[in-house]
Amino acid sequence: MNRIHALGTGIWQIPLLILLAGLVVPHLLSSGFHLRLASIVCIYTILCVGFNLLYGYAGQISMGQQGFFALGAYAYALLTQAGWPFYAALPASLLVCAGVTLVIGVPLLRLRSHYLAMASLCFGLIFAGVASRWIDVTGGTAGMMVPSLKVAGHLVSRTELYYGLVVIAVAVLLLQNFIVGTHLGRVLYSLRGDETAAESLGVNVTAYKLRVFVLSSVLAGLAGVGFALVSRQVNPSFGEFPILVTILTVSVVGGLGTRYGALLGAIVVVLAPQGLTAFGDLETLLYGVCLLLFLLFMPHGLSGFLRALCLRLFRPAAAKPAPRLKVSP
Amino acid sequence: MNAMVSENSAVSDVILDIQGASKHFGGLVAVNDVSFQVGAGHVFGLIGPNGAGKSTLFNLVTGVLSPSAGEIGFDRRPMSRAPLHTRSALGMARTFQIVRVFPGLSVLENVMMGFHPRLVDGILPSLLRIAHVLRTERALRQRARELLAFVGLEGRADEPVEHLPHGQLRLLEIARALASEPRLLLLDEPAAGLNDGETRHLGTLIQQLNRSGLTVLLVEHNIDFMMGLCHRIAVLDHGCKIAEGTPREIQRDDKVIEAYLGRRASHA
Amino acid sequence: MEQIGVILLAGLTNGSVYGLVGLSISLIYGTNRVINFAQGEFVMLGVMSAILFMVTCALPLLPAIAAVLGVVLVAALALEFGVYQPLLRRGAPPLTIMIGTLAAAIIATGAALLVWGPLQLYVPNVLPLEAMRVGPLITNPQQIAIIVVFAALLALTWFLLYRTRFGLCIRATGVNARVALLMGIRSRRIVRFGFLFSALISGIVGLLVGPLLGGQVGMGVTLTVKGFMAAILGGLGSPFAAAAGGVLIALVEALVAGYGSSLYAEPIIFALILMILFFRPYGLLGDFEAGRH
Repeated sequence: MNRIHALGTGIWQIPLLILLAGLVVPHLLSSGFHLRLASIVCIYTILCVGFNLLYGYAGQISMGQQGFFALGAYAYALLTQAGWPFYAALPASLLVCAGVTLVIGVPLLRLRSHYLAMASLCFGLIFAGVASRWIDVTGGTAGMMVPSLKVAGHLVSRTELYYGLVVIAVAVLLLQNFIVGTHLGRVLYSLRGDETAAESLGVNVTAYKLRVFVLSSVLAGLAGVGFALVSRQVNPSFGEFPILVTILTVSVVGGLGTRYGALLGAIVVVLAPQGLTAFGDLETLLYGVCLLLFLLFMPHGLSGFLRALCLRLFRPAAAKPAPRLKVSP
Repeated sequence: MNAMVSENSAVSDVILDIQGASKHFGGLVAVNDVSFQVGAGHVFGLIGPNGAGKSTLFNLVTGVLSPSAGEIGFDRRPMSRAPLHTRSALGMARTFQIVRVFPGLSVLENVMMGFHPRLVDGILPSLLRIAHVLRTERALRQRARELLAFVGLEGRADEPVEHLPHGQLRLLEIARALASEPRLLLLDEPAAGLNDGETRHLGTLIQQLNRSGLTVLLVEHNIDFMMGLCHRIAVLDHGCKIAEGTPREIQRDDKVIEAYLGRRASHA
Repeated sequence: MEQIGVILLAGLTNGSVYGLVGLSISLIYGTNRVINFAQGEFVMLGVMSAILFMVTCALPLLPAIAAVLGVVLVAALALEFGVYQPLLRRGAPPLTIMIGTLAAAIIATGAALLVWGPLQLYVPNVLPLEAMRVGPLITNPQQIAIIVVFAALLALTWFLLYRTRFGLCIRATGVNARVALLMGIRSRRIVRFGFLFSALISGIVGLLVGPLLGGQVGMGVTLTVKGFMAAILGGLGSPFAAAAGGVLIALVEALVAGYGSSLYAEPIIFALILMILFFRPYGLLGDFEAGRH
């Protein structure tokens, strides 16, 4: 199956199914804890779709996404504390993320591969450092409380918050599919390859790198606001290393450069540790082993594996072993 | 063919105007004060022995390098400071000496990259015109198939670009360049690495394109290929232009003969 | 005068640690273009296994040191054969291999967690920590040992790279791996050397630095990050530039901590590095690699 045949079609059908499934989920769950897990799946999906567009498609790695995740959450918490209503604080937090990305992105994106990775990691570390140390503003390591969400006088329940997150996650998937399924997707692909060739064809490489970087950090910020609302607090751990590890694990397990890798990866990464808690101290080790095994044996993640499986089951004749999407540039 | 050459040889409408272009790399002068003009509707050839500065000059014209001195005008517009990515929208398109395609995309999608200058640019503008973008997508696909058919690659449209052999990648690059509907097509050693049959096919394609009104500037090693194809030829040696004229004039030019034969003699 | 002396010495000590981790990262990068995210874990393994062999097993000093270095070398071979080679065989690009080494770092932390638990552990001193005076400076044998070992390992690395045939091969691989291969240089041996030698360095660092930092299984990440920053600041292309970067970072850190607030030392350093990268994308001393791009 060629990427082309999936273009144009398939932009909205699967997200619609995901939306329906997502809306049914709360009726199948018994506890608030499970609802929280389902909400976190949505949050990781939003976060990792951004990372997927940036790294999986455009080939620009950022190891500072957890910084933007925390930035969005902190901006939202501070604005709410300052008395801003939700519908103003949310877009303002996203604008803060976009603004910061624009400022650091111009020089950052001159760097390539490892240098870009390290410099963006620097940003993430600066943010986590400031968040835990600027106690007067951020509350230090204890963080800040985020009041329950109130929209137009109505106190939003956890279930309603979950519905909101599902709708947003599906909207983000639609946005991703639109980008990937049209000319924008081809342009993102061209960024990972030969920049001179892309420029000669009229692609403003610098501008596009910046655009996709801004988009991915806005999505990270959006996910951060969601996480703050679900957790009812923000603290420096939002911007710390484990979140980056989660982003990478979700993306690799789900499949980089695939449309539903972020969702699949998020489901696995959120649900698997629930089984792993039985293992207690083994959890960290198993996390690492899973990440490594996926890198080695499923370089296209669950998404690539499922697609190959479908092909073999439904179109045996067409099941040629021709995986086209590379894991990274 | 030659009859047509002599009729067109008076430059009526200049599309590419190179005035005193020079390029230095440190102490090395790669291109030294070269001037020539390419008339609209011509096939213009740039030849010269190895290391004569052809590729550097070509890179100055395409904008990969900017000249140390001199000016390059396209369509009466000064171009030497224009960013690389703005040129295709103005009507310049190129191919590369060493083929540069985008791995991970199919043959068809590679051609579709060439549509870029004529499409909605940017993520937000595309979102604001979703319906338009989705609608044009299908039309673009059709148009890209036509371009592939024109260069003779219609059968391979949906294959990964990595599967194409070298000769077909050349043709793919030409199709991609044509997708931007250029007025000036710049070909960097298009026949390099092609066999005789492929070279003939390439020559026919270039003539067909030229007949439909496209101006072509090509750098080439293969002199026989150039003699049959070009309306005018400029010859570079050691970074300087040593001759310019119709293929017949070039063939008789003493300096050109010396540059080529002299060198060949010394090599032997 | 006394204060600045103490600050500079503390900076130099930490700088030796960062510098050696940076040097290790840069050495591996030089042989195979992969950033090893598990470099700090080697130091962690060094520290933790020192606790195991010296306290828990109560081995005499020399066998204990040998055992510690043995653990680290085995870990390096595991990284090469379990992560690097398999990923390379599957045609994974360098960034994917980097994510693989990150997985290895998580595995190392997870495994160490099972052995040593999450708590900060007391690390025995190989050398006494009592204050002593060297001219106008107040220091202790531990500090001096770290700085001396730093200098000695720098000299050893320099000797290996610039005074041996093997070093010539390493440098040739660093400049252009494909050409080096054509010249008959066996790059796999060089890559293995890179992993083993850098692990050895990190193990030695672990032995020395344990008493200063304490032993905790999560300490690797911080050291890896510091090592990266050192390598990026100095320039990934040269181990010595990376070592210099480490010293510079630690000196700035010590000065900020000494004259301002230690709370802000880290953010300030990261901001500084970010700024330097903007002006010199390949590091302060990074012309070597910049020339190749």
